[in-house]
Amino acid sequence: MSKLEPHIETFLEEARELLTDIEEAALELEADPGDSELINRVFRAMHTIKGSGAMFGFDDVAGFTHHLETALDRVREGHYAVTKDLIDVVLTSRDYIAGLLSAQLEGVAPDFDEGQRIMDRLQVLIPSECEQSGNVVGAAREAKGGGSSQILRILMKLDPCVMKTGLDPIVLLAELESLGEMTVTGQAADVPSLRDLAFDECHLWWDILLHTDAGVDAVKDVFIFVEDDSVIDISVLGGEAQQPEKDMRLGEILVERGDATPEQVDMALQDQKRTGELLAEQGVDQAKIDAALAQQRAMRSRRDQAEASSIRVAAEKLDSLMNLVGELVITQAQLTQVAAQCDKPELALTVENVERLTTEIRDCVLNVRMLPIGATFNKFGRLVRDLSSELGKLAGLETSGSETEVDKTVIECLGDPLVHLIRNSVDHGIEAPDVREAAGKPRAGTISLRASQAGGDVIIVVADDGAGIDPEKVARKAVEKGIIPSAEGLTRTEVLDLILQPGFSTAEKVTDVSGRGVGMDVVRREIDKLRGTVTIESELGRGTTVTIKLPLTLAIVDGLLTGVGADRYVVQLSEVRECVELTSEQRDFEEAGRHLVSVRGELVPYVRLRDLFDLPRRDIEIEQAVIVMVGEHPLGVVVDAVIGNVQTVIKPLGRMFSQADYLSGATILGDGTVALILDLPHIMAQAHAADGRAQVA
Amino acid sequence: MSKTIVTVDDSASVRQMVSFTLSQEGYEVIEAEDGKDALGKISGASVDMVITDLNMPNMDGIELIRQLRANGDHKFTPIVMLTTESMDAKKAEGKSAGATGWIVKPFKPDQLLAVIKKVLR
Repeated sequence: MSKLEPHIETFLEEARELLTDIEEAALELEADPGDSELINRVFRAMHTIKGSGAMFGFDDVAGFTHHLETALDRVREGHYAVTKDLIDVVLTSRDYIAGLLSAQLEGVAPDFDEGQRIMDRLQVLIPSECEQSGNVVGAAREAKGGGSSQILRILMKLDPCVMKTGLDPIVLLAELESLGEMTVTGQAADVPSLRDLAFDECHLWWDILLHTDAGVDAVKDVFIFVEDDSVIDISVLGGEAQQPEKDMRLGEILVERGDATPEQVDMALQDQKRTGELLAEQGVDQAKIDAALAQQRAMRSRRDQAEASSIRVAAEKLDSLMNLVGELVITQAQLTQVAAQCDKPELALTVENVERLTTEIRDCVLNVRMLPIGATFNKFGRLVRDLSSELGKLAGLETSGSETEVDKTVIECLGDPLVHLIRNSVDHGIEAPDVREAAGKPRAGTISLRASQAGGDVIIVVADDGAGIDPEKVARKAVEKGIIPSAEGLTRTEVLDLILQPGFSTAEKVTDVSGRGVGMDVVRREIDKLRGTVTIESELGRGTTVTIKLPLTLAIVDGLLTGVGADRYVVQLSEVRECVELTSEQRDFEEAGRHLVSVRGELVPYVRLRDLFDLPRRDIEIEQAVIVMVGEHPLGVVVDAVIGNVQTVIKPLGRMFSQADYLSGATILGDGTVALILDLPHIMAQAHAADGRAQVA
Repeated sequence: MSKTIVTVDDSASVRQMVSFTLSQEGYEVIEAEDGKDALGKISGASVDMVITDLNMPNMDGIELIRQLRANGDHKFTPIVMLTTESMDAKKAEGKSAGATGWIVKPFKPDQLLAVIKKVLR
C-alpha cells in the first residue's frame, strides 16, 4: 500500500501501542495472576483494537480479537482463572494480531490456520457459550449479557439548547431503558417561570437509576452526541460482583442521599480496621503487607505520572531541532571568537549571555530527546520467557533502573546488542534445571538487566547466575581459531575480551538460539558505533556479567581540542584522564620499539598522532601526551599541543571517509576550521598491534 | 408508516451504501448529491431525518444544516453529519450549526443504523 490514509496510520500506531501494552500486562499478569486490573488492561486493549479495527477495514483483526475479548471478559468476571496457558494464548494472539495487521498492509494473505489454532486452544481453556459470531460493530452494546449487572446512577442535565440540534431527550431516555431496568425522577427545579420559558429550550433534568448489565461504557455511548455540552454524571452505585469490602461504600450512599453526615460515616470508619491490619491479625507478615502497600503506592504514583500531560512529536522534528541547536552552538562559538577580537565590554557581556543561553537550550533539547530505557527492557521479559521454554530451561528476568534516561538514538541502537547478550545468557549461561540443582543453585536461573547513570555515561549490565565462562577454554579456542598467536601473558580480562572478537564462538554445539559465531562481535561493533565500551567479567560456576558503558548522548559532547601542526583533533573529554608532557629523554626508549611513558610510576603505552597519520616528525623538546581511558586501559595520545575545552557538535564523516579507521567524526570549530574526532578504541587496537609487531621484531 | 431519511453526499458510492443499508431496514430514502439538491428535494416532502456529508460542491453540509434549522419545518429534525476524525473543527462547526450527531467515516452499515436509532424515535 503506497500511501496510507492518515487515520489508518493513526490506527496502526495505536494498535501497535496497545499490542505492546497487552504484552506487558500479560507478562506482569504471569507474575501476579490475581491482579484484576491487569486483566482489565488486557481486555480494554483488545476491546479498543477490535473497535477501531472494524472501523478501518481491518476485519480479520476485529473478528479475531472479538473472540479473545469475549473470552477475556469471562476471565474478568471471575469465571475462569488466569493460567500460564491462558497467558500463552494471549501472547501468541498478540503476535498473530500484529501479523494480521502487517499482512493486510502488505496485501498478503494472513495465516488463518494459525488463528484457528489459537482459537482452538482458547476454546479448550475457556469454552465460549453461544458465540454471537463476528458482529463487531455496536461494540458497546455487545458487553450486554456478558457484563456483571450493576446499578448506575445517572444525572442527566442536558444543554438547554439540545432540542435545537434536533435531539429529543425522550430518545435518550428510551435508549437508556433499552439497556436495563430504569427508574427516572424528573427534576423541574431549574425550569423558569412560564413567562421566561422559551418553547424550544430544555430545562428539565433527570435523576436516573439504571439496573443494567451493559457496563458504564455502553451507557456513556448513549450520550455520545450530547456529552460535550451537557452534564452527564454516571456513577456506579453497586453490583453483584463487587468485593464485600467495597460494599462499605454504603457510607457514601448515605451521605450522598443526605441520610447520614460525613462526620458520622468517618467516625464509623475509624472504628473499622483496614485490610492490612486484618491480614496482620490473620498471621500475614506485617513487613510483607507494608511492602505490598508500598508497591501499590508506587504503582499509583507511576500511573499518575504516566498520565500527566504530554504530547507526541514526530522524531524527525526532534532531529531537525537537534541539528539546528548544533548549528547554533557552532555559530555561538564563532560569535565568541569574533567578540574576543573586538575588545568591546558591552559586546562581551551580551555574548556571554548568548553563550549561557545556548548551553541551556542545548541541554534542554538533549533532555527532550532522552527516553526512559524501560521501553527497551520490557520486550526482554518475553524474550527470556520464550527462549528458556524453547531450550527447556527455567529462567526469569529481573530489571532495574528502567527509568534511566538515554538519548533516543542510543535506545534505538541498543536493542540488537541487548538481544544478543540476553540470548547468550539464556543459551550458554543458564544451565539446565537439573544441572543447576546438582550445583546447589535454584532450579530457575536469573538474568538481570540493570541500567544506571554515572556522570555522562549510562551503564547497562546484563548478568546471569549461570555456568560462567572458562577462560582456559576461551584462550584455547582463540588460539585454535587463529585470533591470537598464543594466550601467554594475557590477563583474565583480556582473555574474556576475546569473546568479543569476530569469528569467535565457544558453544559446543550450534543451537538455534545462539552460537553461530556471530553475535558477540556484533555487540562490540554496535556499542563501538555508539562510542561505548563493553567489558565481560565471569566466574566459573557463578555466572557472567557484561557491562556496557555508553555516552548519554551522541550528538553533542564536550571535547578536548588538540593540535598537530595546523590540524585539529578532538578527544572526548569524558575519556580524558590527564595530560602529561612527553620529554625528549622519555622518548629515548622509542628506539627499542617501546612506546611507553611513565605516569607517576605507571607505564602507559602511547601513540603519536604524527606517526599514526604519517606526518613528518618534528624536532621539539616537549610533546604533549593526553592520557585517555579506553575501557579499563590507559592510553597516551601524543600531540603537539593541547588547546583547550571545546563543545563539539558531532557530524558524521561522509561515505568517502568510511575507510578512515581512527576517526569517528568531525566537528566545526568557532573559526570555521574542521576538527577531526579521534576514535580511541581503534587507536588503542592499533597501539596493541604495533606493540605486538615490535615485540616480534 | 415508514420513516423518510435523506442522504446527502457528492460521492455516489457513499449514497448508494447509505441508501442500500437504510432501505434494507425499511426506511424510505431520498438521495441528494449536494446541499442545494437536498434543500430542493426536502422542501415540501415529509422528512424524518437527514444524513449529510460536509464537504460538497454547490452547498456544503454546514450551510445545509443552517438552512434546514432556519426553516420552521425542520427545526427539530435530526441531522447527522458524516465527518472524518481529522475534522474536529468541522465537527464543532457542524454542531454549532445545529447538527444532532455525527458518524465518523469510514463506517459500517451497523454503525450507521446504531446512530440512526440514537437520534430517530
